[in-house]
Amino acid sequence: MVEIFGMLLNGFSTALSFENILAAMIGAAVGIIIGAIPGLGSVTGVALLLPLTFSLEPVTGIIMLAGIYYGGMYGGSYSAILINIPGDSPAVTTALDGYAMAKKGKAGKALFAANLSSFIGGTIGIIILTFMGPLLAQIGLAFGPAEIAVLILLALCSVGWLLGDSPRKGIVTTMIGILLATIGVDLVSGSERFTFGSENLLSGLSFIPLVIGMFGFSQILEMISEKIKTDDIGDKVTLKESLLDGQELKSVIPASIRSGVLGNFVGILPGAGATTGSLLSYIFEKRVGKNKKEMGKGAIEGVSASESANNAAAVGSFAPLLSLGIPGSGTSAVLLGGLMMWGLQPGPLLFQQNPEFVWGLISSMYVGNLITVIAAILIIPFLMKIIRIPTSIMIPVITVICFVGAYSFQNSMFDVWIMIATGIIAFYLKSHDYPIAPLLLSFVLTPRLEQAARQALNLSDGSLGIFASSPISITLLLLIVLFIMSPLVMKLFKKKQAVKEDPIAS
Amino acid sequence: MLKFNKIGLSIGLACTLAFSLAGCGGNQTAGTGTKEKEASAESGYSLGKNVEFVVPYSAGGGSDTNARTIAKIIKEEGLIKENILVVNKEGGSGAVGNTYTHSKKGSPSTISTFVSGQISSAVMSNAKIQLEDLTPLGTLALESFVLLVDGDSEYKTFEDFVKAAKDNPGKISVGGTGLGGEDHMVYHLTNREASIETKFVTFQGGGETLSALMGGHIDAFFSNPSEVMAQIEAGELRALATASPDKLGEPLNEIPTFKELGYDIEFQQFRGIAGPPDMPEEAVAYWENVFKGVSESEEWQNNYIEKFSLEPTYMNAEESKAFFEKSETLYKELLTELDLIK
Amino acid sequence: MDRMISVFIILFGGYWAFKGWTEYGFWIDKTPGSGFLPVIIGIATMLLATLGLLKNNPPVFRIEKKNFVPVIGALLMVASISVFGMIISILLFLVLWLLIVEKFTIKRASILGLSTTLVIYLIFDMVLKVPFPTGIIGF
Repeated sequence: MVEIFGMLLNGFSTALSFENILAAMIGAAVGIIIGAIPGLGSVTGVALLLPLTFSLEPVTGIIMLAGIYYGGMYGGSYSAILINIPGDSPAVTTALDGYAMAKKGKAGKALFAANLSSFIGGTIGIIILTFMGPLLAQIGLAFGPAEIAVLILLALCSVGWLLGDSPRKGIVTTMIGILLATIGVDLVSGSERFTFGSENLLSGLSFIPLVIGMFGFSQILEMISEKIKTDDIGDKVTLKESLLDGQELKSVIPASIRSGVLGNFVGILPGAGATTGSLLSYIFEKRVGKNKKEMGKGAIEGVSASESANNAAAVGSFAPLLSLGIPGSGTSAVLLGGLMMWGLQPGPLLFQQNPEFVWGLISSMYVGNLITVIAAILIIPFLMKIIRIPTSIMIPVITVICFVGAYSFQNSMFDVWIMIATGIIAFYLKSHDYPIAPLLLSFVLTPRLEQAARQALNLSDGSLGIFASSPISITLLLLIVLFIMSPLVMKLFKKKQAVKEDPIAS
Repeated sequence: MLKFNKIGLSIGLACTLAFSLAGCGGNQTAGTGTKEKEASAESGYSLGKNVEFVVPYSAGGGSDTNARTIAKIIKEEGLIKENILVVNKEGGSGAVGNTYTHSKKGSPSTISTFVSGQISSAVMSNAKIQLEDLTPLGTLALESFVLLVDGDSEYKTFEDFVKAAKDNPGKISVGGTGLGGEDHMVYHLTNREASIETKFVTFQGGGETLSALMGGHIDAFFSNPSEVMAQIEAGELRALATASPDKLGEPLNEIPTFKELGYDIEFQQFRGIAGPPDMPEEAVAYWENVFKGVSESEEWQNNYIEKFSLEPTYMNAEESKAFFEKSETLYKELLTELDLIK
Repeated sequence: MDRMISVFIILFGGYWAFKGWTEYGFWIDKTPGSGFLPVIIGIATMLLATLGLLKNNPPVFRIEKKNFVPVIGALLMVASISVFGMIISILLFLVLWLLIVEKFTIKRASILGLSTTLVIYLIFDMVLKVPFPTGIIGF
């Protein structure tokens, strides 16, 4: 313990040098901006600045890249809250409550809560990484194909109940998402599925055009008839008014802490990812939080839970990267490439062979997270101006953003077509109360689930017993049963209570 | 009018952001321009456009590292004056990237990393774009495969492994990154030559396979030495044998080759470069020159070849073409045996 | 409309299940094949969507013809991109939209259109180097 503090202190002396603070600032700013642009995520940002960082000292370079990574996580929530287009997949759950809050004229508070929760989640993640990173990464290895499959199944099972008034419709859209996810070359067998002979579909539908179409473009179609009078709301909103009051802080902080811890752990697991993390935290909050009824309709806890979790998960993926040399996410895979080019071999020996580097990086995360949250909060008043742009101008501008965002993801017009088509489909589905978020979430989670399940069955020679062969997977299976059963039990319980209370009431 | 001002403001803000971003981009070009003049003096030919360096696999993988190292060396050595943008076009086991490169027909400024997997997957899926549809430009390195088990595994030597596999046919699981990939082919070759039967489990990428092995969920897997060196050095993983013709460089020089152990297993992956079809002849010559420069640079020898335990190689466009075609024939044989060709 | 949507979903699920069963293989050599997930989920989707046929719920919001104006705009933009390229198409789309749909004055529409296009050009084309499709003007 004392040793860790010493190392950390040493690290701070590296992290607090002028150029490293500057690097963190540039990284954070670029990350926030790129993360906020629909279609571009931190992977693009990191890949974009990677060549630039080669002229820097390794530690300065990686600090800048890490800044982009968590800056991107902050930025991803802005477009989700302001124009209902999640910048990346973990921000889908942010959009649920964030955009609902913005519609109620509480965009400022939503943005502030998102930033604050991102900061809390990030900090929790970094603290855990500092003291238990290598240990947790080792524990994460216990999650094999069977455990990962059950974990994702747990997330997937609860998706359908997430939203909307009709659970049936929620489950239907969840399953549509699963079916859409099977398009493309099947990794396990190598055969093509549902590609309709198109090479564009070999790698499957991409999430980005899908989310831009289903959230953004369908939103445009809806806005035409809504003509929200945005001019009235928020005219006087200042940074001061978007600050949270005591009551709201009381909701935000506990939700952020719970979700941060959970999100971080999921982020450490091999290949589970930030989306699983933020979704599970969101659902957890919907089950245990004080404000569960409002979740999905503009609850501040919803924004907190998913933002805190996805930042914590982003930090979590550094644990297996630094201590085992295993990249846990797309972005950390790019970082791994970067590290290797600086001549660093991430792996079990990195902590011993390059302690200045590792501890410099970890210390810089504390500094960088603080810098990012300050930058992010200062941007709020400017972001508020977007909300005040009248709908008449927003509609064509968002349409163009949808276009450019869908195109830029892979420089492909095919994705633009996908964006338009899925936008129209989502518009019809929404008009009959089919929730869209479950579709997108299951779309993201399915490939991992399918692969992990088939790996597990391959290992067990087809025996289903493998899914209940370890304490971890048994616990997770029990949780699934609990998750599915609990709404039913709650209903029964409530009915009984209602019967009991009735005589008193009358 | 009041509204209008606000819009102006937000647009103004966006502009400022854009310019500050442009500032960052600016540094990027400024830092690399040092040796521009030398480069254009060396060769009369000029691309005139920024180079798009296609990587048909995801960021962080072997091809990606390879491309980024090459791009870095080209810049540092001032081999070309244009900027190089590495783009990842992953998917379809390389088919998406191949198709993309192919679509840039006649372009002198599009190049792509080209590895064995792109040939084998094209053969296997009967893809529209085959080796003959692209222009080989050069081969820069050969990379072998090592058979790995966990550091605590009961298999101390390859003999232990073979014995266990013979005792429990079809029970030992070997992880891999896709059917018909190089690791699958060397897996098949090993099974065939050692007359054993094991189980192949596919994962998404080396990282996940590594987690599964270290977590004890699978028994073994084949990997390029570069991706697991740190873990081998730390004793977390044990390499039983290498499929290279000769022993690997330090610090992996203790690993026996399959040949030494008496098995006729030799399999090497190549790392080459290809361009779109109908690339102008001057452009091919231009790139040959560039890659020769890369392969001769100290940086390449020290920080890539040696660091990743590769076999240093340089083949020009013509030699590469012949070499790729020879590999294609071998892959067809192995894949036919695996019953993977459609 | 509610029933129509259910019918479409049934067809969608059915197609996936059918292809999964006949072409991709449900269960191969003791392990699930490529068709495993499509078949199971496809059938479940069909069943749940069939339940939806029982009732014909009114829509949450009414769909009118004007809702599809953006679709027409988007399609025109796709057509325009192949002729004029991305940047000019964005400009045309914005200006024409503001003039025709929102009845802005020419001055306001062009200032807004130009400035937005400029910002997009700067960010995506100049900084991020996204290779936008170019048109006959070569821009």
